[in-house]
Amino acid sequence: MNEKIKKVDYIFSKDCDSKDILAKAIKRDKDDFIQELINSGLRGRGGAGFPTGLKWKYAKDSQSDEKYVICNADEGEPGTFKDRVILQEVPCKVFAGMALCGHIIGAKKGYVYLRWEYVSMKEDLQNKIDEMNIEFKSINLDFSIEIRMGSGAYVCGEETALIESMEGKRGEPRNKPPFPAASGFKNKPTIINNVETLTYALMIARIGASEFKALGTEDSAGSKVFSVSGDTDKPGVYELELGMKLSDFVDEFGDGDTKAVQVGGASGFCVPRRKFNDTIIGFEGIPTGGSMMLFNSHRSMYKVLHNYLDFFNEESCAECTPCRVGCQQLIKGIEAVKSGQKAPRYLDELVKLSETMQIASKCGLGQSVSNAFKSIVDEFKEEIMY
Amino acid sequence: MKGKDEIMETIQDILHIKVGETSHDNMFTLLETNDIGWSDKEPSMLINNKAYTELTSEKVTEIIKSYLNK
Repeated sequence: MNEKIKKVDYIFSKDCDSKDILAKAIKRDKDDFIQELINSGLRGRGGAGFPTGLKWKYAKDSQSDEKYVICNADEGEPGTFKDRVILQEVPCKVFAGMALCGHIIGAKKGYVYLRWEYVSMKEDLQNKIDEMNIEFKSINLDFSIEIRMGSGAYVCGEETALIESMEGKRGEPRNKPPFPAASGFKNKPTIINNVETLTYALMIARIGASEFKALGTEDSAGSKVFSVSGDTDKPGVYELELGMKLSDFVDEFGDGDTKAVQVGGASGFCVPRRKFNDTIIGFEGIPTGGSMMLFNSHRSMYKVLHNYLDFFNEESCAECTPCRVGCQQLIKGIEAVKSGQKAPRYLDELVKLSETMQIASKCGLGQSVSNAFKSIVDEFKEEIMY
Repeated sequence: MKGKDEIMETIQDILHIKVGETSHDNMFTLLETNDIGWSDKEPSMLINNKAYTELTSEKVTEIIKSYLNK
């Protein structure tokens, strides 16, 4: 691998026993471990990047007789498949991570909210969960895990829509605050963490905060699992140090003709070739839940944008007007400009609309549409117009 | 990006249906979907609960025929 890209092996390493790591970790002082997690700089690996240690601290400090841990396995961001691979390769690490969280915050019940499209994995995962549930009992940990299937809705990856779905309702986001750590599933304190985040939390119990923090950058500590696809000869899942330059990434994964990289899926940003060298993959630059999709010069950025807007129109829960109507108008708008029905300057109006959606939409779905919209329209205006 | 249109055409040809329609024997309904989590092995599809990846016209023909012959 290109020496500027550092490959690491925490998540997928099979040389450690997750049951063992868990058994040791639960003997530690809880506040002590939370501090270690905070010191490690671990941030949510699903895309939103909230500091994990802080989240666990809030849930621990919330007074309640019932608390919950939910593993967000609703992986739906286009181009993201790293959680699928983590669950296939090292599921016990995920479950041990959940149990560790449960122990720290005081939850006895954990759920894996698994996207419906991964239902073929359910049987194997259930077998592993059954094993782990027995293991938890054997180390006197009052915690058990259950699988809940999703139903094929991208918006249910948003934590409050996920909770609504788990409560048997339509997957529509709630207002925040209150945040799930205070009031979540059944209005009880709930930690919802991404598959990868839970795995790293367990690994930090093993390696310690310093080793994790030694990787990455100040704002983007540690490493992350990326899923690479598109115009590349090396599609697949890679665990890499955070904070790399996009140009180094493209040197490694591009096919020699990379025109743009979509960092973060449909809700992420499109970075054109001229900006590769100035773009850092991380929270201080452009973050991603893992999705990295490369486009070469044969690709029509109009089609790419249209595809994303189509996606948002379909996946929007349609509850709030800015998102519901905004998504519709954006796709109609670019079609109208393309066909000549509207003048190219209409694109400026559409960009303003997307900015309104960013401020006024109820949840991250509507709030993120402008990321791809603005970046593609700004950088590839001619392809959108003609 | 990886040839989904050709796969769609192949399926439509074999089953004599268009997107959104159900085959005459009620065995298959053809629907398009968003990313199902196998972006590194596209084109991909789900038939009921099972995922099939790295599809080619030949592969998808075989897969569908294997269901029809059951």
